[in-house]
Amino acid sequence: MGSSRDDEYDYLFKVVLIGDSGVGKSNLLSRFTRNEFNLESKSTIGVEFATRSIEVDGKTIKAQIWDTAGQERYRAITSAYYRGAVGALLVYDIAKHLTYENVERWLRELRDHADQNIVIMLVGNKSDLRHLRSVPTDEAKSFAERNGLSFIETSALDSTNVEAAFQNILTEIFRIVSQKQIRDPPEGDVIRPSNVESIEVKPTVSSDVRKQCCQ
Amino acid sequence: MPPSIDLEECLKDSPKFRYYLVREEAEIEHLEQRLEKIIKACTIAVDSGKEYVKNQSAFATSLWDLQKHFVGDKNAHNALGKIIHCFQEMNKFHTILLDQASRTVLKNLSVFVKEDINNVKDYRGHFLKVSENFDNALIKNSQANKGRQQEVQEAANILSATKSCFQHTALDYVNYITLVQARKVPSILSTLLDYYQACGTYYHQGSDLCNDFEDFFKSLSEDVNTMREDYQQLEKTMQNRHQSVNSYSDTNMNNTTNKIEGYLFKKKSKGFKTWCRRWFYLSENNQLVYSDLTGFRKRNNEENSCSIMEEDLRICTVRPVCEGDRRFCFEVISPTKSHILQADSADLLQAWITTLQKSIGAAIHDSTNSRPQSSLSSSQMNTKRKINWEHFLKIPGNSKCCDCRGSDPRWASINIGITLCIECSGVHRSLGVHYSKVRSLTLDAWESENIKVMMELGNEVVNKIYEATVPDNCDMRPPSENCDNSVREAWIRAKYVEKRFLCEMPKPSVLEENEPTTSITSSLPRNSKWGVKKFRRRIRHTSDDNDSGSINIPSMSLDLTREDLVIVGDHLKLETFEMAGIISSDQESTEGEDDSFFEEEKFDKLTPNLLLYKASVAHNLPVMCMAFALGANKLWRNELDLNRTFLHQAVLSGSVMACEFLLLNGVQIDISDDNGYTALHLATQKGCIAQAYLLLKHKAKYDTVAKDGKKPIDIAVDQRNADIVTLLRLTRLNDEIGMNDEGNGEDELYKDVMKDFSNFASSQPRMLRNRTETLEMHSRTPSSNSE
Repeated sequence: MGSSRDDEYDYLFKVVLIGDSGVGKSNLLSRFTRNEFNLESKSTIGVEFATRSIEVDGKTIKAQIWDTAGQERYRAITSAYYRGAVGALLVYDIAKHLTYENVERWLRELRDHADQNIVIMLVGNKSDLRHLRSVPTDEAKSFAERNGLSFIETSALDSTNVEAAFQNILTEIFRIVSQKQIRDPPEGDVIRPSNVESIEVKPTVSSDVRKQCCQ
Repeated sequence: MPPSIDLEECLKDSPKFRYYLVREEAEIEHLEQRLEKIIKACTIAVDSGKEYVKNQSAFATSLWDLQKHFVGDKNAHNALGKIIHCFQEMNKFHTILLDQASRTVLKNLSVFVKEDINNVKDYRGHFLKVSENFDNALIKNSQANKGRQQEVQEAANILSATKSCFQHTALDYVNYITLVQARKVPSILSTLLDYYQACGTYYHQGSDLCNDFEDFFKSLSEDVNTMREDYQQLEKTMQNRHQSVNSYSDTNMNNTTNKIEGYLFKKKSKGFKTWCRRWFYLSENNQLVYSDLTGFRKRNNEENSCSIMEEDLRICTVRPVCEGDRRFCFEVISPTKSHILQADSADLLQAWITTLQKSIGAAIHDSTNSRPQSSLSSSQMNTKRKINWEHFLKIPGNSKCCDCRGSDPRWASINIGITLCIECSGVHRSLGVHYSKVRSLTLDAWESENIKVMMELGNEVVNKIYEATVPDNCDMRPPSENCDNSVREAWIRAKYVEKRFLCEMPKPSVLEENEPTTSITSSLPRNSKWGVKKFRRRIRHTSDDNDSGSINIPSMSLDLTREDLVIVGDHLKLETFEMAGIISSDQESTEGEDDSFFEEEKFDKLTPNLLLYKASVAHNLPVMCMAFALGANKLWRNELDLNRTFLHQAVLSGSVMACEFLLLNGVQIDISDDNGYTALHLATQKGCIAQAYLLLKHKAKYDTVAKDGKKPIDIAVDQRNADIVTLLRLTRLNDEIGMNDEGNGEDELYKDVMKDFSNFASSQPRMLRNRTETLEMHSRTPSSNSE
């Protein structure tokens, strides 16, 4: 499944999976990294890690994914989770409205603890549960737009969009990082070269990536 | 000038008179038109003149602004000032001239037109009216009927009256015209004459002004010529500079001084690991500084735009970095951080590395040579370290060097727990790290666990162990502050390596005098016992506990003196010691602190190994130190207690400092007991995050499988201890990355995250321990436990 060898990469990105307990973070991770799904999986304690490398623009990007505990009593100290993270997949369950309502609280935690440039993607998981849906796609999509997040609906069970979700967020991060590398504008200084667009990662890139990987 | 018309003609009202009037009127009208034209032109001239003056003064103001620009250049400033003064004077003159013009030309001529010429018109109107009346009277008179005497008479009367009136009026009119005609030339001419004089004055003033400043402007023009020559010369030299471009290279730095500056690419250590170009330089007080700005773009002020990357080079090392894709990289490593920097070329890389290394060398040299000044430089260091450094000396005995009693010790041996002067620290270093691990009090960054160890021991306690039995007639001279190095070295070797002055093994007190020649195991009159009390010198602040009454009592209290019981370490006279400020919180993950119970052992079993074993579980560092000095075997295991090691015991004591002390003194970290449990297993089982962290930091193996098939991680998961699970998994992940990265060592991110745990564990261990329980009470919510 992995598209390249594991031991060579151009970029290593830390991405955290966050969201309420039971929304399917661990299964998203196992689907992405090992193509496995476990209906009976236990609560994550502390954190679990997995890595997978993908290719973007001929560069190998290794994603180091931190699957964090959703249940508060199983969470380690918060700052450890977010330190150095460049991406976050904020997952909720489309069939459980409460998990969607809690997205705001997770966003607040990200704002308090994570790098301000962190790329956040809102992920509505369990899209296979059509008959139980309680969070309309449009509502979540417009919420994501309002908050400057990317948005995707996935199903770890039937694999829908899992690959795309990770591909998209890693591509976004890659774009930002590679663009920053051209010339890092001094912090706080407003003068920017005119030919460099400010960091605004919007679906322009992700749409064609989606095509690539969902064939 | 004679009147141009006869009085007679006027009185006769002859055609000639009428013709005269017409001619004069036409002429006056013509004059009026001309005058009005003049007034109009003059008004325009004055207005535009005023406009000109206004602009001129704006020009002068702009010159003032220019002058401000030259504040630094006194000559230019003065010259400009004078020139501006001249311009302003001229402008003033011009204003006066314009004023004069409007006063003379405009005012006089307007008055002439408005009064004199308008009066002519008034007179004319009046005259025409009277003339008409006169005509009417003539007609009436001519039409008067001869027969009507009265009518004739009346007409004649009217006629004579109107005629007389007409004649007077005509006369007035003529008089007036004549006078106006006579006055026009002088008044116009005098007006113009006034204006001419005003002009004259204007030019005269200008000329005077120029005369006044003549000398100044002459010298100014000479100056300008010299400047021009200077400029030409400068131009030549500047052109020549181009030639030096080829011969100049970036590496052309003066290598004899320790100065270097220039652009380097800096790798960000956190988040997006991007590279950015920054201007780096070495500051006067050996700080490695870089400017936050890529070029000369200024923020609000220049001072604020600099960041200190390393504030004391003396604790840094520099090495080239060969790993990674980029060329010309080097690394600046300090005890807490590491920075990757990239130069533009191989030569520059070399220059940076050599200069930095030289500066580090020079800085260390300076700081050791000029000891009196070092207190000055230490004040520039960050406050945390300064607090440490002062507090260390407050520990009993620490204000003087442990070996030579020299004042003002600045070094420490962290595994023995003493302070040293620089000379003695050199000897300690030469013994090797298995005897003594030397650190600087002022230059090194101190980990909290090392501080804790230092605070438990100190020179007074340690010398009661290592200098307990210095004979009065010793063949060896104790070193003094300024003694010869050989004396110092001999003493220190005798003290720590040969252990010639070591304290004796604890003995049953009753027998002390009767049997001076040891052999403890022989006949013991009573069943004497010994024990080690739990001890921690730092007072534990337990404001949140209500039942804390017994805790603050010095551990070596006398309530336990029994004839048959020897409390080992009692002679060390340990006292609790207020040490707030050196460690942020006195909380430590020690359990059962208030429980003063300890196991008593028979004297026949007293060996240094068992003493250390018991002292470890009591986290009694002075006794541990004594046991090591008495020769405890670092690899010893207690066959009677599951073959556990000292470290197992220290973990069970719940104390971080006991673990750290053992590890500092070289005990094995990964030994398993009979159950296959390593120290890390035990720490995990007890849920002691601070100890688990400490063990992992000392590279404990985390995947040892115990006899029950469990690794530490399995225990942590079973216990649902999120923090330890995270620590273990993270360490494992870091090792995996490290292996793939050609042994690139620890990842920055890993270090940072581990540091979070460390800080959290050492400041709020109780919170960590209890978190699981307290959180059970809360309902399931996203983590909001922002501390």
